[in-house]
Amino acid sequence: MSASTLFSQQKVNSFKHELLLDIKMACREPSFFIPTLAFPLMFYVFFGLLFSDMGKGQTSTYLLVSYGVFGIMSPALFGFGASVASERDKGWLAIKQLSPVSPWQYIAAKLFNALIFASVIVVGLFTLGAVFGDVLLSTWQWLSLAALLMLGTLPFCALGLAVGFWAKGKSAVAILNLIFLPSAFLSGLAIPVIMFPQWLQQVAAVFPPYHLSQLGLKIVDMSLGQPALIHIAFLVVTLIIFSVIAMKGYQRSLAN
Amino acid sequence: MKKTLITACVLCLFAAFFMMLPSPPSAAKQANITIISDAKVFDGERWLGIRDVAFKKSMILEVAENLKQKYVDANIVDGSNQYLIPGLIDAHTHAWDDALTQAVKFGVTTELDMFTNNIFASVQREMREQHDSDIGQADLFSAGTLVTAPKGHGTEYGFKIATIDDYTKADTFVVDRINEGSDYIKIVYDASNRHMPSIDKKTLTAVIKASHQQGKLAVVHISDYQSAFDAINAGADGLVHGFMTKIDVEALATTMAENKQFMIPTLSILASMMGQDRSKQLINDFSAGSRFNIDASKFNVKELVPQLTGLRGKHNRAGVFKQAQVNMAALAKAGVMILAGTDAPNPGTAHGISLHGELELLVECGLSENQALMAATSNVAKAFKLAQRGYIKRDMKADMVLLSKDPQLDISHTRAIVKVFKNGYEINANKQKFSDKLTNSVKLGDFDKDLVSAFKTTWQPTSDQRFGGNSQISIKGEHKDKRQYLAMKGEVNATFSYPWAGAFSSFSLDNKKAVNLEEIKTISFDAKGSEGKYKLMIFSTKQLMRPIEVEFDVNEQWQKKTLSISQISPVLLSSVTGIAIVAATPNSHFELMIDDVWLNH
Repeated sequence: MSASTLFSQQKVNSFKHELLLDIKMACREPSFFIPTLAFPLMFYVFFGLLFSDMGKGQTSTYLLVSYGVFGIMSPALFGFGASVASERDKGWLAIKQLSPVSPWQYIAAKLFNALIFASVIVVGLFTLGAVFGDVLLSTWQWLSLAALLMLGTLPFCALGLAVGFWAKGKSAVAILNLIFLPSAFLSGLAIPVIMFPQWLQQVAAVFPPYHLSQLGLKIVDMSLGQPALIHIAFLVVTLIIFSVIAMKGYQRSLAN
Repeated sequence: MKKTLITACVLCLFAAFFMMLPSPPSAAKQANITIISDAKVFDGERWLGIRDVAFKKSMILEVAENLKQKYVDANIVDGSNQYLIPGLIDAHTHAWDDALTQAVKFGVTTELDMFTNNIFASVQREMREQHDSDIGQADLFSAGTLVTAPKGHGTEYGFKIATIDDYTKADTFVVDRINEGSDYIKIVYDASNRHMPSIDKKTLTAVIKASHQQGKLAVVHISDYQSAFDAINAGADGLVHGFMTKIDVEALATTMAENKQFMIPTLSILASMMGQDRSKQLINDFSAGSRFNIDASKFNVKELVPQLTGLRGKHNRAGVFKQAQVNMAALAKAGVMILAGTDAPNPGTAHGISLHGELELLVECGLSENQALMAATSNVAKAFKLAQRGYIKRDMKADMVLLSKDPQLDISHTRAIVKVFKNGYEINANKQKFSDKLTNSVKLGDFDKDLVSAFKTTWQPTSDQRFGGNSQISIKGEHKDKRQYLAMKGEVNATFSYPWAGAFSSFSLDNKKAVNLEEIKTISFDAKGSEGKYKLMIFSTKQLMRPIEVEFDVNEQWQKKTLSISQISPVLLSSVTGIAIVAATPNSHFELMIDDVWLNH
């Protein structure tokens, strides 16, 4: 075995360890994973299934998309961002920075973890919608929606990470909550945007969840009809900006 | 190894999960797709072999094999052991009355009219745009008013048309025709000036040039070689008749072939002129006991017999007719594009049915069966630049004819009609016969609450505007002197040849369903208004050009008007789609009030 393959093998191993460690930690913290998984499903059951009497799966399809976005946001913001903040508070981050785990592996493991959570939420929501909500979509639509929600976690991960590196542990959670709930609501995840007054509809367009949900609604032919490229561009720009901010935050924490 | 297995299992579970998620019933059923399956398909140019043809509403989606598997929930029309050809196009007719419903029964789904009243043509152009409706008739393209000299051919039919006497007027004349809606320009030209006055060569050339400047085709009616020669050299796009002059046509043929100028020989009408009765076999083939296993009740060919056997020429001049076929054969051989046209409904011909005779006459000249089929499908579409017609291909109109016998073996097999599809709907010729007979008096409108009629339709303003006139009208319900009535206000301007403005009551919501008024003796109503002459118009599907009109006068006092309609031909009354009460003499301002309109038994 040559030195380089040995080296890369080590890299893979440390990434695996890091990932498993992260998952184990999340699982040992039911106060995190239960609400993260249960909230979007519970909201969907209430608003998408029980209270939707519009029939024919219209409401349940619309809300499947919006609670899907809602669902993937919380592991991305909290599982990712807030946990970085608290780990830094506890000194974990400093240890990690000294360990053979590279910062990229550390981030990648967290990201992967967020994706696993997102996929569990997606599977749960899809099952509820399909079994109880009369949601009928072509296999292509189901798959694209799932893929979109997975990809859509990325900008929120970046946002969470940026807050996590800059804010202190407890305040990170508070700040993220302040971002999470209002932006989810104002993006029309709970109440469709078209029901907003005109000025509020325009406000919605500055929040990333709005753009992600519009992309999702495009897949099920329920979007407001704005060009998909605008939504994609907005999300990509969000991802880049917050990644840069997060990177600066990480460098700052190294310097301290 | 173990980890790969786990990963594979997880992936499989995901795949299974997504496969299990419910999908709507496949798009086919919702979108109402029909497949004509397993027929041998002629696509307008060549035989494709056994194919499925899928269409959605009026458009062909796909022509391929095994489409039943692709559109699992589609309606299937079994075409096995049958032959599917594009809806036929008759490239030379004169259409009015029920021409288009007649034509479609016989598989003719588009007619190119070469001169009719332009009001009829305007109405039919609107119908032609209703791609997704079950219109139950052929589409019409029309030259509208033809281009002829004063007292020339075309002026002898009893209604006044514009004529041209000087080549300098060509531009405005052509623009006028186009404003009337002409789809192409048809010119009458006779170099010899023998039978009736004709425009001269200079005018011919100027009109053709003007048409081309306006982006329209110019086709020329000729009846001898010299006229054909002049028209072709003047740049005509095509000739709409053959000729019977005994002459070497090689020079003409070469020019036409080189410049892609087409020929519509109309052998059917030439045969009729030369006393050649070819109707017997044609009538038999569409009658009960036909050699083809057809449903004769669909064609009701009996009513066409007088027309088909009443030839224009009483003397048998077989030799002269033969010359027309010889000339045609020489043109075809030189590569001139031949289009099938009948000149129906001139004596000896009828809409639809005669095209099958024309195809046979073309094959007699030496065209192959496939060339004859092309002459009635893709050639016409190409020559006249008709979009979406003449082919069985993706994105073409679903106008098709299903035959039980192979027309490659014998062109007369185009008569073995099993089904005709127009706009994707199967033509059911029988259903057109029903119209409800009104057997008691009906109060068509009392206007007490609203303008809704006894047939649940609302009285509507109507004027000549849809035909290019500029009369004005507004109507509303009014309440005055303890009376509620319909009040009209408007002006009648003489721009249009018979102007009108008034109120229209349709007998059905789509204005297509007719009511039989044979048992109705009078139409009565109360009226008052600006003093003058007014008209009751009755719209019949059997009318020739204009609606039935009954005059009445009005003064400033309410008066009961009782208009007898018992003198009107029962045929016209058997199929009435609505009536209108209108002002019809030019008038800068009129007011007319009507109340309690009755159809009296």
